[in-house]
Amino acid sequence: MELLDQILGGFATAATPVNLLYCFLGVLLGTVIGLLPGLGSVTGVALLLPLTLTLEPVTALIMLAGIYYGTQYGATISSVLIATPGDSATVVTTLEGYQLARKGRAGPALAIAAIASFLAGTISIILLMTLAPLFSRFALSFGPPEIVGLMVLGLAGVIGFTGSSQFKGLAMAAFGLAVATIGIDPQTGVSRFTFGSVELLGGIGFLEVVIGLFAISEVMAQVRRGAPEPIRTRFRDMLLSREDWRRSRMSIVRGGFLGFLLGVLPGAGATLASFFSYDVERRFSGHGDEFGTGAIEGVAGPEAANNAAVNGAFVPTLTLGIPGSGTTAVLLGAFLLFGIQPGPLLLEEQPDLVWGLIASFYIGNLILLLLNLPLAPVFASILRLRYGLLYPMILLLCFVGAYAIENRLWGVWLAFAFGVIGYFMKRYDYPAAPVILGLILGGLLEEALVQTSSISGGDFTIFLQSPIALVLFTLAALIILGPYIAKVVGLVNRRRAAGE
Amino acid sequence: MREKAPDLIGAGLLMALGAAFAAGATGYEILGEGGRIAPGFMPFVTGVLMAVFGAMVGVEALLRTPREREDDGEAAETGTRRTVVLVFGALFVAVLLIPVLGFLLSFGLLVFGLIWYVEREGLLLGLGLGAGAAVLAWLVFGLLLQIPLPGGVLGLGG
Repeated sequence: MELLDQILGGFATAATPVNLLYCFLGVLLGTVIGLLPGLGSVTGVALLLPLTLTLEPVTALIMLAGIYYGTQYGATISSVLIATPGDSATVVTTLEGYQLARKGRAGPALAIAAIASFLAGTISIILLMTLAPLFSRFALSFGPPEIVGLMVLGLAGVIGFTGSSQFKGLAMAAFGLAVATIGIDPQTGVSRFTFGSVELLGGIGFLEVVIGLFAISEVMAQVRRGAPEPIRTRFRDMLLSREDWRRSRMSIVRGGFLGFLLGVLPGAGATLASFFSYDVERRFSGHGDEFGTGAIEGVAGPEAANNAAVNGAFVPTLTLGIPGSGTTAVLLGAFLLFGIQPGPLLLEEQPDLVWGLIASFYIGNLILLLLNLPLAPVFASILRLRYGLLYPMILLLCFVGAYAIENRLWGVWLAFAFGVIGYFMKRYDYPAAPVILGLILGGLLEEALVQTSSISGGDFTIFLQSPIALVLFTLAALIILGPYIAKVVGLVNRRRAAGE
Repeated sequence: MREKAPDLIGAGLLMALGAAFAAGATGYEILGEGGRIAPGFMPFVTGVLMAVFGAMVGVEALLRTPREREDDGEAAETGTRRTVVLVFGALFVAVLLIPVLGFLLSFGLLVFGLIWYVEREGLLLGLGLGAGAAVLAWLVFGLLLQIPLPGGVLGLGG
């Protein structure tokens, strides 16, 4: 019953008044940020991270988890009401959610999204609590070569599922990894690419880059596009009918399990999970013909799936130190900022922190439900503000945040520069998430590589001697080459069929 | 050919940047004693990879038949390129002015300028929101979080 004790201990940590307060604040602020057009969970976490810097690590991480959940629901609100997803994981929600809103059923769409997220959160947190220790135990046997394999798999996963061109994703990951080498090399103390600048010695901070690449560039893209008119919703419309619930409940269960499983895999888990769940619901819900015109299962399933996937993604993030998505990458960066190194040892060395965090996920989910069922229409009123009045404020927030990270003007310039770069990347379809992942994993990857090479005395065949590393490399190669292999196989089959 | 230009330029930039990283890395020793990884290894390998993948982006663009390109909704854009340039320009000036005016004044003026001049939302609304945003930022960051924002020559903010 050691596990149960630890879980209860976790709830005791998470439920102190201070931690509850910050979790609540995180959910509240996260929801507001998440519903601003174009701003999603990556941005939300990055923008609000400076607020947590003065807190105790556990409290800070609990607040960040709250922010994470809040931004996700906020993004759902903007998906349903203005068909503008703040997050790639809520893109699918715009399909049915916006159609429901146009039919005057925005309330039930928002309500089922909140309920689905909560129920799927419950399922997936139980799975997370059981799986995390198992994963940890398995990963304890990992040495530097296996860790290199894991990182490569993590990078491949994110690239494999992003954007129109894989080469753009790969190039962006390489860009992130290269930028990560700027500054003093922690292994040898050699300063790289600093050109005599004191500022560059400390390296390029990932938060400034995130604020630039995600927040500023998103806002600018939105400025160019112009923001759409929101659909109104009222509190009494938030009530679900018996029929809505009857139709949604199995979708929620399916979405919850599917989402968790996909979330554990490295890659854009939540996005993939939501698309998968949408497809599953269209085929199996029995209302496939209504899809595209506002089917509530098409909101319930994907919303359950993306929430569960988020929890699933925490399994590799916490136990292996490998983030499964852009947002978990930012959260991993936050962990490192607070001096916590996620990995197999974390659960053993700091059980209070890990279990407190996991328990706070659950509490965050509950706060989200209690806050958003009654307040979604109030939050939604922010969307009625003209974007011309909103974006100057958002930009101010971005730049204060960039300054506050290290209390220096350098951060502001970095955010500005990456804002310009990010604007053009967005315009020409270069994905930003691989840059962030490369930037955060770069240092860890280099450390693992250096350790590997000193264990083996510079002999790279050490990777071939580790079956686990081999499996990980093979998986990474399959993720990247899979689409091409499928294409070639398809071509061969067609030729053969044509020849017969 | 015209619609391929952005990808070809992007490919060129990636190749140049990748080559720069790889070339710079040769100054830091790539493999050390007994073939061990030295400080130049990561920047060299990632630089080469960036250049190679960049080249592939270019190749992909050249091989692509024009009809495969998706419509990026250019016509639906209500904001203009002019606005984007203006906002980026205003941001640049605002950051440049921080050491002189201080963070809050500089960014308060930015908010005012964007709302009043760029968005044409009215002078009073611009002034009110500019001042309000600056005060709010000071309340949250200066007062609550005790993060001293640069005050400039006037010393406003800390």
